[in-house]
Amino acid sequence: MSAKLDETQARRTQRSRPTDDPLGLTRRNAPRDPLGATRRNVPGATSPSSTAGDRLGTTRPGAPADSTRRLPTSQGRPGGTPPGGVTPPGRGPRRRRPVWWHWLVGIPLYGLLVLGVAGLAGYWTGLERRASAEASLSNQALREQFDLGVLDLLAARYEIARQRFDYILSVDPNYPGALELLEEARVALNQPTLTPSPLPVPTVDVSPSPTLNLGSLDSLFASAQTAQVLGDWDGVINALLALRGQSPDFRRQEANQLLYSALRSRGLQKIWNGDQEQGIYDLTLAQRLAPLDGQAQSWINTAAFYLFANSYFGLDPALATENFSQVCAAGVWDSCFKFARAAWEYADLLFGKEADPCAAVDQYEASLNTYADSAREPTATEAAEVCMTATAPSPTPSATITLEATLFLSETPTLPGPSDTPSGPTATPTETFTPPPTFTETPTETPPG
Amino acid sequence: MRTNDRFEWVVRGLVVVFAVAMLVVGALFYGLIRDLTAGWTGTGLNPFRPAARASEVAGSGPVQPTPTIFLPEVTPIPWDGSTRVTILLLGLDYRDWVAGLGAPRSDSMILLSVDPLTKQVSMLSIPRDLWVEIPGFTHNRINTAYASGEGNRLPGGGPALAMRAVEALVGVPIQYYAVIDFSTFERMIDEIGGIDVLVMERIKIAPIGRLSLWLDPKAYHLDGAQALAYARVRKATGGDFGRAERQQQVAMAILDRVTGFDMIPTLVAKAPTLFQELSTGVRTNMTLNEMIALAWMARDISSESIHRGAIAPPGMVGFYTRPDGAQVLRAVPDQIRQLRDQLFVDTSAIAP
Repeated sequence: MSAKLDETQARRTQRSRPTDDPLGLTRRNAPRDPLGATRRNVPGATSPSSTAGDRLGTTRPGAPADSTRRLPTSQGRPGGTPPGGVTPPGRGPRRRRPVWWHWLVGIPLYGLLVLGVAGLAGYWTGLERRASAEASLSNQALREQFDLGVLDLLAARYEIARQRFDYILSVDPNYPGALELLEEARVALNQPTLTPSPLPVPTVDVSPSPTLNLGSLDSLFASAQTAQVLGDWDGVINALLALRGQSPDFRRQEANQLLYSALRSRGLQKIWNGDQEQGIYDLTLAQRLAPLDGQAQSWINTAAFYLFANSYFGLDPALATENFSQVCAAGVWDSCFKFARAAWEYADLLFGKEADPCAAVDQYEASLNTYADSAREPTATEAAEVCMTATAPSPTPSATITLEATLFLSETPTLPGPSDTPSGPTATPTETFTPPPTFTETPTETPPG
Repeated sequence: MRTNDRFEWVVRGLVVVFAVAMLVVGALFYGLIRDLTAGWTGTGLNPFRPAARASEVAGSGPVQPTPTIFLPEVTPIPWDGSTRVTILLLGLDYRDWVAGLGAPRSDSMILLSVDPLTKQVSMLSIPRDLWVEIPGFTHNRINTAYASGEGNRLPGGGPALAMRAVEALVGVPIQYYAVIDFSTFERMIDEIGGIDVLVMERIKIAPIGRLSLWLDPKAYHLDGAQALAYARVRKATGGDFGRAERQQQVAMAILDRVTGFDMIPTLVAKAPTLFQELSTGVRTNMTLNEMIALAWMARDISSESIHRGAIAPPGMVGFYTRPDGAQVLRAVPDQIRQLRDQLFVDTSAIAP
């Protein structure tokens, strides 16, 4: 029965096919039914168009009826229209995926693709532009800072020049000429680049690895040891603090030894570089771990005395002169330059307001002997003349002060070596009134709202 | 049949139009992403730029845009989360700059330090008339450091020189700075709904743009303008030193307010506004990540762990009058050092 029905259907199909399309491959009907062969889905539909819609030629002439079932038509799919277009009861025909569904998916996909590609391309181009702009700005800034640094050097603004060249080298260590000019500024500032010898600590054979490995406690400790060997005190301290943050008791004694050594070395380095208070701070921290040695303690005293003298600079010339004269005797930092400046200021005060020209002459002489300044010599000569006039009983001969001025700052600085006993003054500054500092703990009570 | 063909062509045309439109949108999107990426500095909030100087505007010609002041930023080493982090807070009145009076002096300086291991916070106020050596310059008041750094185009500008001056005074390494403009300070306090302050003595404040008013010794809820006036008033007991105390009090009140539980919804709701205020009126070298990390850490810090101090008489300063008549404060190093040790050394994780 079923085979007979198939045969009948095949004949009908053959009759309905146009003569110029014997294979039934025409697509003339496709535009008419762009959403798919909807009529085929109608139960029992057996119209010629539905048959012709089988684009794969499911009904070739002369083909056995069974062969049509094996082809991938709706008949071969579950739920497809059974032969004869009869849909079994209770089993509805499955809708074929309509063509518009492709567009529904394809259009957003296309949009996303375009936006994704555009976004990525924009991001990478932006990154390149930013890097290029930063490099350009950085080069511009470095060039400007270099030029300004040269001007500062020429104008004897050595500290400002040092700041500029330090910055340049921090950005580009190979910037041409910066290192040489930095050294020039340092020499002028009497700040030699010294390397403090660290306290002996057990050294280990580790390969240098400057990046901090937070992975394990052992690697942190190893990083600290490596940094210690390399003289990277910041690296030692940071690694050990990270270690302490993870495990406070991990090799605590050894860690404390390393920490002490690094703080001491960094503190001395800072003091020698002219950052006295910063160095004292580091040494004070080191002191929490172990008592300081004599050398470090002496440098603390020297730095503290320098800072004490410096606090009077520009305020009390007499005290500034007196205190800086002691620091200058040790020849450290810019103490002699400041002594000369303070002495000159004090001399001006004595010559003018105090009306003591002879005392002023002593200060002028001390100032010029320490730091020659030809522009100021006439003032000193004038003070000497006034002094002689005031003290001489007879008519005043013309006096000319001749000073053998030497530029102290051009001399080679003589800082005591790490093993030397510091020659700087070790006097402890004393204040006339030293009550305890103000220190208020945060009140635990909150103000009433 | 023809209708169907037309429909097909219409569909094809629409597809082509859509494809072209998407390409145009893609090109615009490309430009947007490229410009955003290129413009993002990644160094935290934008530097503060004053609108325009009066001297530049004063001419009869059209108003010229303020020339960009490019000062190379000194980038700090990124915070590793375990070492002590110290921030110099600078309060500035940019109206001086806008008025053509040059780079402003810092009006208030507070050194804030946090030890992440011990969870201790230290706060040190520095008086602006303190006579110190400005690195690279002669001795001067410490509040001139900012203006000198900006005016001489030093690397890092005013904040960097101010940081160096404070480092030389206190000795503690300073990694970050935050410069805040007064008007921004006002608006930010308004955005968080004001602060609660316990006034300790009868004091007269003069909020900008309002009438003066007297505050009695009791608790007040102050808005932005009142809080700023309260923090800045000098004509009260203690002068500059009482002022430093009030500034710390206001800072603590802000911290209390911001960290309060009831503030979380407000902060979330106002986040865009607050970020906008921060972006336009605060200059800092902290990255956004570092700010978030610090704010996150602040949750674990109790008010008992916050230690406050001020460089103030008696002992730590001496009063001097210079030959030019200027009244300044001489810093007494060994006394300041004692306070420094209490605030920054005794609270440190570096201990046996």
